[in-house]
Amino acid sequence: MPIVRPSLVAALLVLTAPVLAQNNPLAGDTQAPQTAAATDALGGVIVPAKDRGQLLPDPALADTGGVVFADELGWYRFTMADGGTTSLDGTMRKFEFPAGTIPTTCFAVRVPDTSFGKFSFGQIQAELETLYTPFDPLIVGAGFTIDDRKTLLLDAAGQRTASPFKLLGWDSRNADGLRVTWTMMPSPVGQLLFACSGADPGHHREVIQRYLRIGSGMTSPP
Amino acid sequence: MNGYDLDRRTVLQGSLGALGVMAGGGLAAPARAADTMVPLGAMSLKNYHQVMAKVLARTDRIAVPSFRFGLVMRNGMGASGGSGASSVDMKADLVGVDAAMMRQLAHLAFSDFIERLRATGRTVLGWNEISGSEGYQKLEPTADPFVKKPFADSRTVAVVSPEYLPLLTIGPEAPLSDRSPFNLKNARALNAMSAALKCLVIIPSLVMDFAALTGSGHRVYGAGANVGIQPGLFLVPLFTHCNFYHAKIALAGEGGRLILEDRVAVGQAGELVQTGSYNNRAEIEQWNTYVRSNAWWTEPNMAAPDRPTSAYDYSSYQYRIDPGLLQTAVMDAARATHGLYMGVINANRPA
Repeated sequence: MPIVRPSLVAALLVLTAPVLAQNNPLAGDTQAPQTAAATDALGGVIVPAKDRGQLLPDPALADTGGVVFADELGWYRFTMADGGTTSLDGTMRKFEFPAGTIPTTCFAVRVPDTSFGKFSFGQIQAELETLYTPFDPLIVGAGFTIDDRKTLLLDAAGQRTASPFKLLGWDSRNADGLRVTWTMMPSPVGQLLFACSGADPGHHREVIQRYLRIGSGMTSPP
Repeated sequence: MNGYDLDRRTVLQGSLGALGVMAGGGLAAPARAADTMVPLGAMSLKNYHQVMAKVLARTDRIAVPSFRFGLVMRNGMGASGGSGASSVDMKADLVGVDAAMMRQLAHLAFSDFIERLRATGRTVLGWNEISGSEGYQKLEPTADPFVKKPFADSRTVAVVSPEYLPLLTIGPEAPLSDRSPFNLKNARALNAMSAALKCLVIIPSLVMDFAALTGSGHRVYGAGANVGIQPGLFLVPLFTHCNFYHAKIALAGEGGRLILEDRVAVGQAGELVQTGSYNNRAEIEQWNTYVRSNAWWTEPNMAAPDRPTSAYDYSSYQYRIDPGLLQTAVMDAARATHGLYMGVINANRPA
């Protein structure tokens, strides 16, 4: 009788896995240079005052109908690559959009707080992992069970010329099975709570990582 | 962490159980490995050696005709003590990765590099312009995959490029190169490309290892010998670098490099499995038990075991890759290194 070895099966699966087509990102003629994102010394995206608080077309994503929203205080910028809507519900900013084929909802809440005011931005980033415990009750208090704690690094296109920022990240679910990934950006001026719900934590995290940017309002307040 | 330690003195005098010392070696090795290890999240330009970064300020136009991605496929370590009376040797192989998978990872890493390069606001030349240049026609690509076991180095490295790019090496890439330092063809071709297209030519290289090995070396007077293996993915110093060239004329130009100087820990992407071991630990233990028991005194007529004249342990390991974890780790490493490269490119803009 043949012996079935799990390691052999795994190795065969690896070798038979389909390899995706590779498209040269340089293909074709030389493209006009992009406009480098304006950032402050710490890497926060500088959003001109006239562009804040409104949903605007994103020139970089014009072919897919992309829109971008910059927070009124310049704390963050969020892109919806395939278009979407935003509304204000109390202090909560809500974003509804299709991410690929998945209807996704995100929301952002600014919490002005100077608890971290005596620390530099670099110090907060360096010690970020130690802040899960004090912020855990926020997630649990909202009726969610924490599945995983994993820090996110905002370093996708758009802010790639700047220092990437780390965010606290929680994958969670509530009693109804709703899965939400929460992120928290502590800074000397306060905390930005940004959460997403659509499909699974991988989807949520990709949306946040690709399309959320931290603005200069958090890194170098006026 | 796994490790072996054999000590000739313990074998011959029976003062300590050799197996106990083996465990001691296992604990001692990671501390040594950690001495030069930098976590990926803490990697900065301090971990890189910069040479002639000012070349990056010569022009806004940048061509990237190749991208190298490499994995250490086999690694090994040996150690001996007492002029060879005790010896340990291990080898470890990376399994579950093939050339097509490596090329796909190279493609993802290259795409990330180009996306970031474009985001700096520099003009990144399209492939039509690069491949249409005279310099490109003069390039001599290296066969892909390129497998090299550098001289006096236990590592065997496989290097690929994305399937749509040629794999290029020049002399300064030694020891991960197939050309002699006197072979200047590719260097001249890159200079010609730079001069004709009035651009910088940049070629990054990302190489990862799957284990950090430590060893006590080969001692003549010291009795002990130990080796340790710490599994995990690591960015390989020296092999991970970013080269850039600029030339005003095809015959000669200038170049610069960013070279990783420290080993950078990226994370785990599989599991380390011991697949073989050939040793005389049982023989040593039998001798040590006999010596410790005082039977040699109380039972003078018993048949004593033979006293071992040497101690040896030869073991083999496999680091079995989880493809999903490997891709995540490679992309984490690529993003981190490319982010640093972009910082240098941004800091050296044309006036």
